[in-house]
Amino acid sequence: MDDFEKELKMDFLSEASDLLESAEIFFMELEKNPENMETLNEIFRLAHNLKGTSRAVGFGEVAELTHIAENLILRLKEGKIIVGPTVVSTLLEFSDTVNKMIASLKEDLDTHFDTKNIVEKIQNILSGNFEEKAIKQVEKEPVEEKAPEEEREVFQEESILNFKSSKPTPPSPKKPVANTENESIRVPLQKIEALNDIVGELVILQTVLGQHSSKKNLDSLASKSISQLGKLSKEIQEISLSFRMVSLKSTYQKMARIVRDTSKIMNKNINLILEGENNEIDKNVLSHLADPLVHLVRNAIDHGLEASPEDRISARKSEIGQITIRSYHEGTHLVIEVEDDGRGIDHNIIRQKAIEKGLLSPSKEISQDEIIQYIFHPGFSTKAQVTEVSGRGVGMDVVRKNIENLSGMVKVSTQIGKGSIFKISLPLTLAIIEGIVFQCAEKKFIVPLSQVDEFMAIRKSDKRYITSYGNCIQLREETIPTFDLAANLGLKKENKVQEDVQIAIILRSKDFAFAVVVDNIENQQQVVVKKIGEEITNKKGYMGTTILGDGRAAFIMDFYELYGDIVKKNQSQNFKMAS
Amino acid sequence: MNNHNASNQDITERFLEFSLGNENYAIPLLTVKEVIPVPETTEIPNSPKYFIGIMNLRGQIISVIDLRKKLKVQSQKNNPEEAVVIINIGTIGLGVIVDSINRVLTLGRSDFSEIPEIETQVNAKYIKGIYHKESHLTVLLDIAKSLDLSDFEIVEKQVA
Repeated sequence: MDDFEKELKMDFLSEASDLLESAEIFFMELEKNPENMETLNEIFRLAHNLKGTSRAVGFGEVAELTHIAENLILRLKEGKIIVGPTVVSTLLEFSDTVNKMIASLKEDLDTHFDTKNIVEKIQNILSGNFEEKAIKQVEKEPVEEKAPEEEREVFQEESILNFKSSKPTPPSPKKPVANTENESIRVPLQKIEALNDIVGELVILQTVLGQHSSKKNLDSLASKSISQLGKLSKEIQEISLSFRMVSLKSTYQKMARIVRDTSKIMNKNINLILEGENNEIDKNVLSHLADPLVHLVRNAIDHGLEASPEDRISARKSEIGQITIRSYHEGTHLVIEVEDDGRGIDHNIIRQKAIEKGLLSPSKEISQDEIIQYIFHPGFSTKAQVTEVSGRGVGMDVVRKNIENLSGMVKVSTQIGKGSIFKISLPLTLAIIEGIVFQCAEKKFIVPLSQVDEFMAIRKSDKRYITSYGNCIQLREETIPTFDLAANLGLKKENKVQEDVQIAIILRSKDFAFAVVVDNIENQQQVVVKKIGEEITNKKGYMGTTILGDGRAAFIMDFYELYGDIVKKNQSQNFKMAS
Repeated sequence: MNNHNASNQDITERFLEFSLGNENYAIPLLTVKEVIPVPETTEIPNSPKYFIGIMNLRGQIISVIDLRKKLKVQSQKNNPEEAVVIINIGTIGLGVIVDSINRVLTLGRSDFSEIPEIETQVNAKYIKGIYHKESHLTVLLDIAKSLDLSDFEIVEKQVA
């Protein structure tokens, strides 16, 4: 096979993944609105496209299978077959099969497949030989009302999945996500990284030029052009940085699919709520996030939600179980939560189990919250029998390991009878954060805006020394500990004159507040968090580095890490200190 | 003196020769990513003197070390030729400040002499070999050893 052919095939494979992803959205949309012709048209178009291109590049098996699926879709379009859950499931199975084929083709272009199973299923539907008997002659009447007795079951089943979402996911068919009309192009990540690096260089030169123009007397055209150029390069930088960030949308969509399938297998009524699908996260992080999320979602349905509607009703809950997936920024992290309103986790059982497994000594007293976290231990499953959906007890520790590999954290909080929340918290490494640029001993540092509670101008005389508590300042009614950053970092000022007025950055967490004194606040801006090199990792108090507008590297400080322990320690020693 | 005829068939390797103070040192060219003028750096608080700071190399953050201070070599004064050699040791990229870049040497194994009892300003355990021709003497530096990673642990300990 020559290179050109190979390239053509690889191009097709990546394009096909996109097509299938969009198709899946439409399949699920179809389940909600079986009557929507527009959705069917879209699906038909996608299938046709897939068939054509796969045949053109010589993947006969993919084309063959798609052709059969296309027949089915055509019949749906003509109204000869009515859309029901079995049809949608078969379509989804079809797209799964093709997805698998594509994945193996990516590995080896000469792979061959056995598609008998799915072909048979589609043929069965085409020949009207499937259990739902949902075939009807064309009779365009509201299906739901006219459903004969034997079909009723089908439509009830259909309502198992009640998608609701704060923002429309999957999107309405009027605004298809399908980017088949060249609304987007694929670019290798390497190229984007190279672009980012070069843009970094551009910005440095721009700054040099800008400083030069303010010193020398340039003619007005030159200085105007320079400032224009400055704006442009800033814009280029912003755009190029945003390339790496992708929204959670496609991951959410995957989860919607998981919920759909799992709810069918488990026969549970589920209402899925998706929040924060527009939050963005670095592409690299996202690609490792799907597996742990799938696991958590499945667990929430299988273990979390009550086994039957009766159980829920007797617990005075709506019989439809609720799963919520939400994401939001918390401090320096992006948080993704999977919440169910099910039974919750009984800490007594967990405790028992932990003692049985020898993970916990029976005499040890630890808080309920800590006990619950034992579910993340390897081989820890409390469910008696192994189910199809989840639970051989290999799950939770793998979830934790995966998340920790992304230097994230996963925690669970639960309330018996009310439900559980699994909280994945991912650092924004490589992500863009809002930062405050400040000066300390003529050097620039950054503190994440999310850590800052407020600023206060203070004079030297405002600081008071309290034995065993250190320096303090008075903030309205409160006395809070104060740290001098320059002294703590061992920075010496070249300019010996001590400014009388300094700025205190006030940080406040749930339990304590403290102030960090710096020289000056420069500005607020978005910064790209870059990892600290291996050679300086484990340094306390540095969250990362970044490159400032002038092209210089600067440290992003994590004051909680730097000072949190000291404050807490002092506080517990002096907890009765009057304010 | 050490110029055997065998040097013609010898497997040759290329080295980058640079100056630290008045002495010449060389490192394998393959460890060198590029050479750049001394950039602006941002000091790392509480780190050893030879640890100059971090720099922005086209969007990448890289630590910069002053090899002269690290090896305790007297640096040249008012030297306009100062340069930073970007090297890769394992997964770590590092910038190393030297006094000047001299040339690229192509040497075979037989071009090296045993490490003699000579006086250099550098600790002998960092030296892999000596190359000399006429009055010119170049010390082959084991860069990974001379920038031993334990140095970085020192940085960590001091700050923690």
